[in-house]
Amino acid sequence: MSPAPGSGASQAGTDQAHSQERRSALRRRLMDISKLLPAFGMLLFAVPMLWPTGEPAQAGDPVAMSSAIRYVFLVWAALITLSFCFSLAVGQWASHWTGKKPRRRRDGSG
Amino acid sequence: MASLNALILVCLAYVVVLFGVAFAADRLAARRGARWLGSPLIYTLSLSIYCTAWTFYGAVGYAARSGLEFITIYLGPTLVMIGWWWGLRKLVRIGRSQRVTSIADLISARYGKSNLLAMGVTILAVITVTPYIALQLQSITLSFGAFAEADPSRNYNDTTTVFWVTAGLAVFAILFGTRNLDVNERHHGVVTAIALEAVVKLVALLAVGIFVVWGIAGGFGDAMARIDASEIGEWQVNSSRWAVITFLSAAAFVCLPRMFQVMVVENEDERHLRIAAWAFPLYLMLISIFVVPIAAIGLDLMPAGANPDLFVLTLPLSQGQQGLAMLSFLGGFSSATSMVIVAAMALSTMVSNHIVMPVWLRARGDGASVSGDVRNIVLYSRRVSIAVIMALGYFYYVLSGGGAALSAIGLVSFTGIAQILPALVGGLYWRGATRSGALAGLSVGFCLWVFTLLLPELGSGLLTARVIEQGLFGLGWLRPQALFGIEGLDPTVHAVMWSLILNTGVFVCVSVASIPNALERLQGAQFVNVFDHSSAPRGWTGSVAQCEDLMIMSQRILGAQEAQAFFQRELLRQGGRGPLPEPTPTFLERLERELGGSVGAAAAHAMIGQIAGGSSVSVADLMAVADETAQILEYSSRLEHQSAELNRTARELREANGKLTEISHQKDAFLSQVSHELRTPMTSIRAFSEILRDADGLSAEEGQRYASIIHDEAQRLTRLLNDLLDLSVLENGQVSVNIATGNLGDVLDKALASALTGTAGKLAVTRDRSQEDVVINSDLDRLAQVFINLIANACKYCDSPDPALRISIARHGTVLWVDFIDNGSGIPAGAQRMVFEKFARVNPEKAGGAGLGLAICREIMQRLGGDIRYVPDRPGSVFRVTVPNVTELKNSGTS
Amino acid sequence: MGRHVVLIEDEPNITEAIRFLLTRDGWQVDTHADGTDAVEVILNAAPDLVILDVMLPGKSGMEILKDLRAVAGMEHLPVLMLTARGQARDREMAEKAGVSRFMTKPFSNTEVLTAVRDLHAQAKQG
Repeated sequence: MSPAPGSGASQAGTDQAHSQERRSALRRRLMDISKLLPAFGMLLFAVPMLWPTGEPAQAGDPVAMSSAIRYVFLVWAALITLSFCFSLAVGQWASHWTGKKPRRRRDGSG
Repeated sequence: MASLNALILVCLAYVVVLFGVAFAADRLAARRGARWLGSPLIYTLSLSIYCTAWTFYGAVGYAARSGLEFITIYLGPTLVMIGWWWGLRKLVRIGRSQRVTSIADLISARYGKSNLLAMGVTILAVITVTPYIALQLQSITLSFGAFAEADPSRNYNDTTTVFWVTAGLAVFAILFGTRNLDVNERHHGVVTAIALEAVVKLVALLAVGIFVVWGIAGGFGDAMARIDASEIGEWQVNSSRWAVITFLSAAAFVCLPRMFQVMVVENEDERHLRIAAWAFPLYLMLISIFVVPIAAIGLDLMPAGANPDLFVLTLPLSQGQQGLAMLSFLGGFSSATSMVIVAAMALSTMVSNHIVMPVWLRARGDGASVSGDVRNIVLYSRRVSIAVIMALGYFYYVLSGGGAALSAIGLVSFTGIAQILPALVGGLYWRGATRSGALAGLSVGFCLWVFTLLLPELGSGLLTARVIEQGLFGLGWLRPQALFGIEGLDPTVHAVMWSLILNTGVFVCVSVASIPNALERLQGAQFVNVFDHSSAPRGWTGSVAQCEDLMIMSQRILGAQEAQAFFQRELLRQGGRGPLPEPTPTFLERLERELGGSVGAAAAHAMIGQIAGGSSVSVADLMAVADETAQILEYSSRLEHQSAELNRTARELREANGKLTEISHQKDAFLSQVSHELRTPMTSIRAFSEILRDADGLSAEEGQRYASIIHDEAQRLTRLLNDLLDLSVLENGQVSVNIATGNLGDVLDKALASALTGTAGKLAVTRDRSQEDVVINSDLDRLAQVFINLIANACKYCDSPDPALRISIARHGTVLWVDFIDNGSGIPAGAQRMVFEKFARVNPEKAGGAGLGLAICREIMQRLGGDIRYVPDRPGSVFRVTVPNVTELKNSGTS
Repeated sequence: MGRHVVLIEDEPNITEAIRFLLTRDGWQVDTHADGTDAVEVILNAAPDLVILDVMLPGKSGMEILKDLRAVAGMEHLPVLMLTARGQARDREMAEKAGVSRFMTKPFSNTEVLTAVRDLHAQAKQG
């Protein structure tokens, strides 16, 4: 997730600009992900609403409990993993927020 | 097996451990010994008070009754947590920067510090949470009961147990929840204890689940098969309930007072959210992962009619697993106690801040000036509030009979508290939200909740069957469970939908229609744009730089030496080793007080908040600062004004005194002069008259001479007296000026004739008649007097062997310069300034007059609006008379 | 046996009156009308008595007296001071400066004669 290390002092200027650009692009993407994540979760958790139940009025066989459990917990685990990744990304990129110094000082100061 | 007694012993031991942990954590926090106290892990675990006994025991019962629907209770919070960057982060930031003490405080702060709104939220919270507390008490009692059933000795009383449990929890909450007042002073003890309880309940549930899946069933596959084969083996979830309860749990997760307490108020560092964002969903997943297996296998193994709510407990018991059952019991006990303690703490803060204190302050009738006295009252009122809330829960439990009615309370409570959501979210994201809107929306939501859910579900006695069947006042569209004639909805879905839709609708409409006041607008901007207003998060952890900032600021305010002394003292007090003291809340409080002495309390608070709290300055802070500054300014400007006035007065006095002294000196000098001038001729007169009288043998010539001296001196005396009178009249402005129109030449003629009488033509006078032909408007007699004086002076003082006087005239606009120029040696430079002073004589031997002539001339010319002055640096003496009011230059030769 | 007076006075008429009186009384009278060089005039003339006006051009009588008293041998020379200003302050200043007698103008001729004779007699005795 971190940019490639600068290839030398001679290229520091362009590297810096480049990494700066990349950083801000990544930050934007991060924000997009953060918005999308709960919406994505909501969508996935809404899927069971479409499943047929055991009621006679509905067509099709009801979904088995074990499948339901598998689906729900898999989605859940996936969301947790995504959230974990997002958290890591925030730790890495949102240095203004975490108060940490950027991991690679070379990126910032050349 | 004396299991009940053992249980009570274990229970007590557990409570003792909790007390110990809480106490130790408080101590550690006070000394800042352990960083892990404020770690994200503790924060995440403390969030688990969301999982109450209702979820610990009830989830299994729920699953046994409705299948997978129970999981919605966890899915809502999961979604909230993974969307933390856009939701909770803002809430936590606002909570920190505004120093919010509760959800009611937050709502009130957002809407212009409206206490009415805070009161409303508080009342709503009390009504929703009290039954929930009762539910926890019930769960504890039921779990005791389950053990008691298995215990042969059976000396067990429900009510007594509940009473002691309630009392114990109240004591715990009071001890660790109300030790101190400052909101920044977080309840480390309580938080650490509930974190421990969170671990206990997770471990307990996982242990039971593992036992069930791998102990009773033959592993994961077998468990799944048994689930599919059980009563709940098919997907049977009502999709509307699925969606609504997910939403409801998400809303409650944010709005519940106890959740707000641990999530926002107790938050040490905004950045903990980053960890909690995945760790807490993981916790929720783990705690619910074995719920369905336990329910399915419980249904399979336990006799029909067994309470599925207690499967977690009874299943191990039935399998002879006393130890596991004990652990499970502790898990349930932990869930119940942690929820009750935090809920009681949060509610007590709200009740005391928004109901008791305002009422008390109003009753006292004076302003809310916070003194130590008031602080004590606040603490006291919180303690009493905790006791009262616990008592309410207790009585609710006892009165409701602890029956099945309570099991429904979870969702009812959630729905009630979710009524805060529109006002909360609107307040956080919509600047247009107003107090009136929030109040109206909240009221509508509250009423609908009571009417459609609370009364039908719980207060069956209060709402008759007729009302439920036929609607309020017999109006069909006012049926509590089928509002507006829409039937067939699940009661909970129905209630949530209508209450929140109408709540939001009214909130938005009234907000749009009403005009927010200034404070609301300001607070609205502060809330909605909190990330622009407040600084990036800085926990207590990154404190060294903070303390340096504080030191720098303190030095500026207190002075370098005093600030260093203060910091040194604090360092000693803390017993630390570093160069600077740790910025503990106590230290900050002391520093604030120290600074407050210099810059005013509000300013000090704002400054320290800015540096240490990472909090933005609130509007009230700003206002208080402005007030103080204005007062100081006013005071100093008053002082300045006073001192300026004093200075002016002093200067005036000095000037007046100087003038008086000068006048007095002048008067003395003048009198002295007059005396001298009078006495001198008198001396001669007296001496010679005595000689004439006494001396014999005087020659006729001598007699003649002495007589003429007497005569001259007498004349001199007369002249002096005349001059004095003249001058006095002129100086006092008593002289009447007779303005007449005349020709300058004529005036000069008259003056020359008068002045040269008896001088035997010694002085040669040169004139330019053509220039003299000027018409002037003046007092001609007085002007002539001036000219006479000047001509006479020329006669007397011109030291040329052939004295000559030239009179030259020059016109400048409406003024005329008349110069009297003689051919003498002139007046010495040093004396030029003096000549117009009284009694000033350049050459006393020759003085025939009293030395008042030129003084009189100056007075006259000033009276006439002109001037007379000596023109220096010319051969001979030049006196220039400036004559004003020249109207016309006549043609020469006409007169 | 000198009866020598130096009169420092800027009013010619007063000078003439005093000269007339003292000459008739047998005194040798030297007159001087300016204050500036009055001390030298006195020292040169070495009179038995000095009559000194206060208001003099150039140098006031008070200063002349002070300077005179500062000269060795002149500490006890009788000095009669005449002033037309006649204020109490002037008398005090004169006494401080070492005046022998202080008289206010206008004076009677007898007073002046008496004063001159007394001072001369005292000086001869002392």
